[in-house]
Amino acid sequence: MQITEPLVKVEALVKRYPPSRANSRSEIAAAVDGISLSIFPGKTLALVGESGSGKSTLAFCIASMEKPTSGRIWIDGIELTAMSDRELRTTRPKVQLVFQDPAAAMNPRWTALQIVAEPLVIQNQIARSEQLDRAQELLQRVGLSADAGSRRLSEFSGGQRQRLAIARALALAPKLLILDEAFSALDCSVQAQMVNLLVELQSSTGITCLFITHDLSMAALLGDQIAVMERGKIVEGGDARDVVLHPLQESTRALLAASPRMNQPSDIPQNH
Amino acid sequence: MPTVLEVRDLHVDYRDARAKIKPALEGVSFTLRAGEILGVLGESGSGKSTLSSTVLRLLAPGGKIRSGSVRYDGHEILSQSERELEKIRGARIAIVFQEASLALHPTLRVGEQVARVIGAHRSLDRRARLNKAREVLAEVFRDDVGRIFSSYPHQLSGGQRQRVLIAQAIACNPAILIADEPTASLDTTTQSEILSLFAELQRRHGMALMLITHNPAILARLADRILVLYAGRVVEEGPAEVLLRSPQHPYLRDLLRSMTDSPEAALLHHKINLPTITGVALDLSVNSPGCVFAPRCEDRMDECAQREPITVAVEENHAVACFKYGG
Repeated sequence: MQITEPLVKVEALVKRYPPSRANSRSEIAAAVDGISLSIFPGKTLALVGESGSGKSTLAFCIASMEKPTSGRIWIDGIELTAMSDRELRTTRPKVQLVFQDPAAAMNPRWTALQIVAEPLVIQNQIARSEQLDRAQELLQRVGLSADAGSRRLSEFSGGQRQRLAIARALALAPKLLILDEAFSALDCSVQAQMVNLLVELQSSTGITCLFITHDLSMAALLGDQIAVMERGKIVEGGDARDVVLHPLQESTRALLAASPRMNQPSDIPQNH
Repeated sequence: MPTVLEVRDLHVDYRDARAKIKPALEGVSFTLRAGEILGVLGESGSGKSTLSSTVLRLLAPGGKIRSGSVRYDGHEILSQSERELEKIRGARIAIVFQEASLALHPTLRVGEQVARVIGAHRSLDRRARLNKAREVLAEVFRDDVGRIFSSYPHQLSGGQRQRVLIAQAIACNPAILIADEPTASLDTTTQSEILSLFAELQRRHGMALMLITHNPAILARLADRILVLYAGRVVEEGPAEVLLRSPQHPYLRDLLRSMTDSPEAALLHHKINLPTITGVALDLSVNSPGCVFAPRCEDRMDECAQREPITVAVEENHAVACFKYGG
């Protein structure tokens, strides 16, 4: 039997930010405070936690957008933390991010095809016509209609914009897709469509995902593993089933208790 | 329960930069009773925020109330003078919006901002206004009131800012509180705390609460009754428990089916296709004669494309606009 190596390996990662001027009396806070984790190829790790727990900082470090203070990160067997800035340029395409508000990172005057083709244009490793063909293919992959390519951002709904963002993120065939609260601002019915899209993409391409959310239901839908973050640390982690059904830590139990439920006892006395 | 707000046959349009008219509400009617929590359930483009701003005549530029009636306590809101309206806005009917950071003044202390709301409606001297503001803040913050009182908005967390907005809204003891997606940008624990706060304040003050959201799970927790908006129409209305347990309109049924009930239930759908509503909501600027949900409806019949269904009662206090029930 062949032993599978993790696609993403993080070891004792620490990221501290210098104190802001307004806050100079406070100690230097560690946004990520000694995190170790692994994500295996084709799997999804759901990272759950409240705002300020350090989820996004961890993602930025993995995507080489932030330099860790200490600790080591490997992607696909390559140690990012041992690379120079110039070398990182060649590895960055392996990790792509999708954020909560994709429109903030898209040019409103461009067509959808231009938006999705942009990473290919920047890399410039295939012919122009091939770039556009590939972008057109990606639009279909994420479930946008054939004529979507010529439309501009304002003509797309929130869910469709998120599909565009995913198409663009897939353009350079990354190994790891990081979704940072990517579905949080969408309507419930659109969230369900996006969950299905992600599951389909993962089964057809085998891409590995880091899914960041504050919503434990979303984490349970998509995560093979769930890690719960609090104040820069992973306080609980394991198979999704174990974490949701048999939480060991108080903070996981608190998150579960606060999760929206359709079948919960009402806050309102029933006698009025 | 006496009626506090009566909305009848409301039609609202928006006009875009090219003067193209886009209907946002088409014949919306409902009644809000004293002391109840009415949930308004609707997704983007359903008209839910247009509804909340129409009730206080706070429509965005380009918005126009074509016809209808909004009656509060014997007043017709839609025909009142601005001066009369100022006595109602914030005092008798208050509203809490989603983005607390946009609704607060960045360079005024929180206590002062709450005191100004009080000053706008009551003739009290400065000291009395500030004292009252402190009292109101104490209602929404269990501790730390002193620090919050003299803080600037940027020194507070998102949840704390939302609490300040709620304090402003209840400061004059309104009969009606409208909350438009009040927890949409908050994380799970804070959302849960803010919802509990709404329930507590509603009980203590006996206000009628109109809670507007896209998330049925929020209404499962709080609402007495639910009004379901789709493409500017009320498609179903009834007691919250009944609607959430046995939805009748195909839109509500499919929406609830696409959601997982809880994190535990979500495990059962792990990486399995969720049922979804296919397609996107109708473009309302394109005139079409049939039911607005017909293009996405699994139960579509011939007549659905021909005219719009009318609202029929399926049982007491429970009405649906769908040809399946007569329509």
